[in-house]
Amino acid sequence: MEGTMRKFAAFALALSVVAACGGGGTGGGGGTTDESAQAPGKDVKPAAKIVWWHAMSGVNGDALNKIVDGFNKSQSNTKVEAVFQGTYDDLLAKLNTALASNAAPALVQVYDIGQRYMYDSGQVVPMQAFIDRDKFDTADFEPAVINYYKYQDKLQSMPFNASSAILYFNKDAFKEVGLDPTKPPQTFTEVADAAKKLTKKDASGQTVRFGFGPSIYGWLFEQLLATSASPYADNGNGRDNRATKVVYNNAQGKAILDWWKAGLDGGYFYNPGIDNNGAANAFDAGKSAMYIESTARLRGHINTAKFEVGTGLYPRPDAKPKDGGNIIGGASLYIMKSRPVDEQQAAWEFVKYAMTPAVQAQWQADTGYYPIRKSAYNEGPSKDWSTKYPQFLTAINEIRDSPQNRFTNGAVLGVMPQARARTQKMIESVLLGKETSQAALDSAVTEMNTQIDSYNKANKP
Amino acid sequence: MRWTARDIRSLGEGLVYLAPSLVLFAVFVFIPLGRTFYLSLFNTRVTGQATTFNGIDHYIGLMTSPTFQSGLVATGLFALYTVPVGIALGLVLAVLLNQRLRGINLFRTMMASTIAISAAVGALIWNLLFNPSLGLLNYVLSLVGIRGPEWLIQPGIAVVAVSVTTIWLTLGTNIIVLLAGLQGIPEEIYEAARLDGARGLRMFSRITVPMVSPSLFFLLVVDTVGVLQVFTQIHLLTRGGPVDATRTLVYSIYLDAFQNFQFGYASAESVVLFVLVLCLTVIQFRFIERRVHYQ
Repeated sequence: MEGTMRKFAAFALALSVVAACGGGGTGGGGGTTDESAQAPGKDVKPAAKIVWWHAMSGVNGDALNKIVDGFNKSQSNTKVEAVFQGTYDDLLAKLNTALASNAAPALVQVYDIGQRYMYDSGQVVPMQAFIDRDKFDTADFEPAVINYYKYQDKLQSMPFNASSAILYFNKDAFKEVGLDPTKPPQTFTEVADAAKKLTKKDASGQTVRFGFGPSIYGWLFEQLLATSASPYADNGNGRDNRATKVVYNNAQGKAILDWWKAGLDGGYFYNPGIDNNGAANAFDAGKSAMYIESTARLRGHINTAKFEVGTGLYPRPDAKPKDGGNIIGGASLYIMKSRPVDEQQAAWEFVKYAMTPAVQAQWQADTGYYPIRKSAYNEGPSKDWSTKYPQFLTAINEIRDSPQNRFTNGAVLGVMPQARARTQKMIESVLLGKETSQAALDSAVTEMNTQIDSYNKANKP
Repeated sequence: MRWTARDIRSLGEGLVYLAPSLVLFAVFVFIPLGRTFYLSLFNTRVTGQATTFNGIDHYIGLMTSPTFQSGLVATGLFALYTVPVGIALGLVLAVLLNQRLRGINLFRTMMASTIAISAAVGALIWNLLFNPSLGLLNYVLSLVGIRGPEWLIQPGIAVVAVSVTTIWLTLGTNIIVLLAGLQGIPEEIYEAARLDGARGLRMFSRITVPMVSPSLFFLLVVDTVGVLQVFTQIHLLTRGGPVDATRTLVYSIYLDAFQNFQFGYASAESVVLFVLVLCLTVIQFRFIERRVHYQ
């Protein structure tokens, strides 16, 4: 008897493990991708209340609540309730569970790389349906932003917060070593040369300041590929048709990794690991004199750093390929199909409000994201902001100067979050000397292609 | 054996008493478990519904995946670094705390205090300590002329860093359990041993360890199961990196299910973890428990 009890105890312990881990993927919900999904009729009265899930915390969260308050006061039909759901990843995971149990809200903010997932979920009323119905004018929208969120020439969602990647540099350090702070380096070789000059050692030979310290962040690699005019995935970066492979194991991909690795081996690049905050801390603390990150960090650096913060164009290959440029980042808004039509209608009313130039200008001034539409720059808050922080113009000029093509539109993949994580592992593996650059690229691509295959098999359009 | 009416009645009565826990178990354990087995045989949509039947393809995929294999190694290493060290350290500290000294309760409270710290808070504290540019740990090391390693960046050291955090977090529980065990040892046994001439280490290995072995065994089982489920520290410190060095099975399941939305594949991993934990626990009960001395 005792033996049986013991066995049972062992079994129960093991059970508790699997029950704790395997809860995912409850049934129900259903849904296939329905491209003909329609917007509700124009005469549908907007619902009295809708819920909006978002992932903006801190300063950005306050700015978002300001928009919601403004909307709620501007009219009396609808009250929007904004609910913070954690990081972008958390939000998507929660949305996934909510969809299965029919508890999704009417409006959600989903990050850039979640767009194929949202499309494949078949749970979205395409934004284009509302745009077409109301003949909503998107002519003055930032082309780079709107192109990023278009799939087969249709907007599935409305861009909301947009950023891009730039080079940050320490102007004081530049002056100290005799570099011109008005001419930040632009190409791989220029960055490496400047980094060598900026690197400083103490008497014991320990490096106290590195020239360049980017974190191992997949998004940065995607941006470097785009400035190198290289595709990330096939079928026009997954935009002409659903991608079936990733293709970055090419000469451009190798050049990026070799440049990164050489800088680290030479002792003038710094490796803060995968920790983006760590890379930002190192820059603020003067441990690295340059690094690359999102424009969304600009305000934080200006507030924290004890030196003058400079911004420059994102690095690119020495040949400066003319088809290369930057991809935008950020998030967009989706209206969910599972909610009643009056809630969809109300969500659309709110989206239109959020897109007005005045709201956009205030959003820019409060956060550091740039406005989705150009007319926002004529508004007071935006003008004040640009005068105060001229560094910010780097980002918007960079994005406007980028040619619009498949490379700079950015890749769309259902498995994009995973693909990004895989490139991070690939970069780590090269930087730590575990694999040569070509071998690391090849193994990452091979592994991702298997994943894309099974994703495409399971999510038939 | 034949079922009499009385047996059946008492079975029915028993089931009524058990019903609340059976219902809870069914809802939170058995149904999700069944669902996990089921999903592991299917491809799933991104939203989690099963689509096409896949047979044992996910399992074959797992067995041939280098990521999964390195995940098993990472899990094993992590358990090996954490469980024995955590228990040994807990035992040493518990023996020290078992002295009758003035103010010993203050020390006991201090040493056991990590029990009151959540894994998330603990991981954040250690993250600050490990920070390469601002970290206290490397600063202290540099004072004595040692150049500290890049704790969370070098794969081999990152496993150690996560293990240190985990040991620190579980130490409080280990100390309390072992201290309770030590206090249950009758003084007469020590007196008898002393009369026979046993001292110091010999006393420790011949009297203390066997007498406290039920607690040690309990901790071995519970800590092993616990360490195989560790998520928070890994998520906050390394996210499974660098180069998958800390991508344990549980973290893999999280990534595949809630980042990659491949519920079928993640379910297959859950099933493998289940079998693994079951086997380990059976082995522990079978072979190690023989050496446990129950009073």
